[in-house]
Amino acid sequence: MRGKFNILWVYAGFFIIFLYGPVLLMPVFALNDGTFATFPLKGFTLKNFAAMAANTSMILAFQNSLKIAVFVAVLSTALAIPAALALTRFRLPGGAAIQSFMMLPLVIPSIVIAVALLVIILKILGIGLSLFTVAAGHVIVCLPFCISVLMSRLEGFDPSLEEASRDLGCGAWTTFWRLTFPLALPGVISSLLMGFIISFDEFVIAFFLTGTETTLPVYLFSQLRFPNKLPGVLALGSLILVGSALLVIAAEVIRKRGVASSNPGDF
Amino acid sequence: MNPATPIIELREVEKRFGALTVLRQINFDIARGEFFSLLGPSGCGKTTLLRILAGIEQPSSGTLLIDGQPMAGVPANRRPTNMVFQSYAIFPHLNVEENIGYGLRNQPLSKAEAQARVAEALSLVKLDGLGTRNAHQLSGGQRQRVALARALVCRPKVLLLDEPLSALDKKLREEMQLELRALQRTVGITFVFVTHDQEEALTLSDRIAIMAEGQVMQLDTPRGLYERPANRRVAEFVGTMNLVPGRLCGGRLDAGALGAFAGSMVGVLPEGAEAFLALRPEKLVLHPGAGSGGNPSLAGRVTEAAYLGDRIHYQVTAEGLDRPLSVSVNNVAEGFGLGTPVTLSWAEGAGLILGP
Amino acid sequence: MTDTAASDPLAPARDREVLRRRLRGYGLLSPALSVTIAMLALPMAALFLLSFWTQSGFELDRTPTLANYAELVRPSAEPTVWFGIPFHLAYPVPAILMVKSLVMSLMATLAVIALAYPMAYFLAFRVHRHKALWIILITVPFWTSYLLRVFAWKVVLGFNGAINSGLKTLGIIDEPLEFLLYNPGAVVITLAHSWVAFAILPIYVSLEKIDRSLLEAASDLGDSRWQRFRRVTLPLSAPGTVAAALLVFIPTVGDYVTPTLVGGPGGTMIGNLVQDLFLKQNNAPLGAAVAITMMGIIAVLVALFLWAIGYARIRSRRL
Repeated sequence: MRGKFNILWVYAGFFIIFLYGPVLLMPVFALNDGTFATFPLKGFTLKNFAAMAANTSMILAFQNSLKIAVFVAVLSTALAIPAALALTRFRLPGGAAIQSFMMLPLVIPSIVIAVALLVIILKILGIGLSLFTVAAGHVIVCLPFCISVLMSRLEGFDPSLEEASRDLGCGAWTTFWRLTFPLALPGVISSLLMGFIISFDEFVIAFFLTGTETTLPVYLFSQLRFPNKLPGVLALGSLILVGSALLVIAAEVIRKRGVASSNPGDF
Repeated sequence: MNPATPIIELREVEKRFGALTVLRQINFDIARGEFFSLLGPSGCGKTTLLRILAGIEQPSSGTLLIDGQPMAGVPANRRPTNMVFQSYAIFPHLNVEENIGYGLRNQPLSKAEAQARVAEALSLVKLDGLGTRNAHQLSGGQRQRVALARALVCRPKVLLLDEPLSALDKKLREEMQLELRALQRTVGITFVFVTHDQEEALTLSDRIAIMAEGQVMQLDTPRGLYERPANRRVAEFVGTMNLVPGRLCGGRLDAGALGAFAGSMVGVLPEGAEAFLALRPEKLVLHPGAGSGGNPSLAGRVTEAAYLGDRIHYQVTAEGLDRPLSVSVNNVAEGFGLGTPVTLSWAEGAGLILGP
Repeated sequence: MTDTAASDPLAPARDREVLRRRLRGYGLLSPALSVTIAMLALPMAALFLLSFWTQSGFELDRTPTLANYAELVRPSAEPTVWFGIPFHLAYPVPAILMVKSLVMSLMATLAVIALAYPMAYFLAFRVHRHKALWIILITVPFWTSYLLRVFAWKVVLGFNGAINSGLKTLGIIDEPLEFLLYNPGAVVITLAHSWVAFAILPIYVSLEKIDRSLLEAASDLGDSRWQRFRRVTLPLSAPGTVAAALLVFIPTVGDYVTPTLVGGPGGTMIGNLVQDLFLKQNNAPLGAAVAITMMGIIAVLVALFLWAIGYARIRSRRL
């Protein structure tokens, strides 16, 4: 018993190092006072971070990404709420098939989604590429995640809660606002944060669908080719990693806490 | 409304889910102020019937009147009924007061009036001072009280209770039974109570409808059900009943080699029909030795004895009967050892003749 | 009973009630569904359509033809040999890249399952306190920028990267090891690292769902720990493991970022070809044909795989 216990714990330790090690090297080298990402470390510096403040094209790309991510998070969540309600509360003929269809973007390589959107936008509709086309592409990849997050939240409820609300005199609309929405709120916030992060970090679709204005990952990608831009890339990358990690943790904590406190079984 | 009209009238109510019929030919009335129980094994349709009264389910056919008003097309939120759910359905995002006040927000009340009503309800269910507790900080018994207060505070004409005591342990359940009965007398509202526990139903109810396979088998007072069960199934479901099988022959039960027994007939049975002589354990008298009793009587041997303090329960195996008979005697006389030959007798009118 | 139902005057009203409820359900679904149709189904249909057109210079020839697909399988007497496999094709690049992508993706998937299963087992059976914290710890990396996680491996494996400079500093090597980066191995390692966190969850869920009394029963019936794992735990966690494998395999075949950043010339995959045909060679119809063929091959392989292992049976086995 004891031996097996230890082996798995040791494995878990190595696994976490494997998972986080490469990623954590980025902030290490970003704070290192050298032109290359090499050992030995030369000394602590913040100059790579300070240089970012002067980089206008990066700031512009950051603003674009922010705008798109907020728009995508709100739109995907707004679309996902009624869909998740319908899939968990109504026994609809064909509901399972519709759900699988809407989950398809999870298993289609994003390059295929990207070129498919590129084809319809350029060759069929004949509209120009812009931040809007990027946002459209992001909505389609975020939607399945938002729907899953909200469905897992809504499925956790005792169905008699809604019956009790109806029984106590609330109509369908009042029941939604006084009961379903407050209970789903952790899921809604989690869905907003997930949508935001996925869109903010997404590269392939943005790479294919941007026009003249770029998003932050596309900008970052364009910098990767130049070795002399490496310190700046590391600094920016570190900030993005830390920022998205914080958002994911927030999303997960909110979702988990909400689930724990609404479990009808835990007296 | 006319106090003489029943509060609930059910006429030919049926419920089907696809090809499955879960309720058929439900026809009965519930009187104002009554404590009425729907009793039956799980799957008998009692909860479905309760949900039809609440408006959560719609009957497939038939009519339902509450306080003289037809309920067809009236949704749950516009019915003068409130329900205590089996899971209690306490809203997890609201505290105790907010839970209790939930339904009042749908009534034309001032804030002060609503607050007063909530406070009154809290003390009615003995939860004074716990108003700001969160739902997940409550014990099972407290959740049950919140659910009760939340329904009663709306002053429904009928309170519906779906096995509200089944999640509680035995001791708490017995306490709550007494409280529930007292509460019902205080508020004077009609209670419709669903349970699968016959003891609970007998303790609480003014009248009980026994249900099986979607039908009402018998509707009577607890005493009526116990003393004059309509058939063998009801007799076996309510309390313990000894049954001697046979056929009806000239107003008596012909039990073949055991002889023919007189008894009071329940219902109308055709001559020669399959029937049972039904005897409650406490109506039987034990005599030592074979063939020592008067008439009517049965001879057998003691095969099991259970000492219960004030009473002793014996199992007596009689020749010619598949199942042993249960006998309950006061613990005053000397006991009978296992294997002792005994004779069972009963008063002429104590036996019932029942159909299957 | 049935004749009362037939003559029930209220029956139509109740049927209408059911219909109205369904309509409300479909109404709630319709915004998300129409967006998915408009932005996924229609573009995929357009891509499919485009694969039957041809590009001549800057003009798009809209005459339906199978020319693009024919191009992918046009035979040639002179075989192109790749890793000892002769490809008798006039334009062998797509076929070679397809096979290579499938092999690399399969290796990455096997690596992911091998890495993820013990971790999922650890989470399900060894972690008793702070479980939620552990799960967050495992899942957070998956949600942070894919691009940056792949780039991190370039920093680790590069010519002037962390491993080379670290080993040089320690005096173990004098010259940087060149074989670390820009080859299929680097792509497989990076893909495995990127997707492993995603694969843990489905496996963990299927392990967590196993009724602990089944394990106790197996021990009680005389199984050793290892026998119990092989005869109870492993079969019962198969649905989650298969799902995890597919969730990794399907999207990685068409991955673009990883081969571009760490693959070098030898590590390119089919996704690079699609990108090249669309954005550089300006031959979108051929690119569309390659993308559609790739999806078709993946779909067929997945279906064959599920059929071969009897997935339907495995899933239905657990009640």
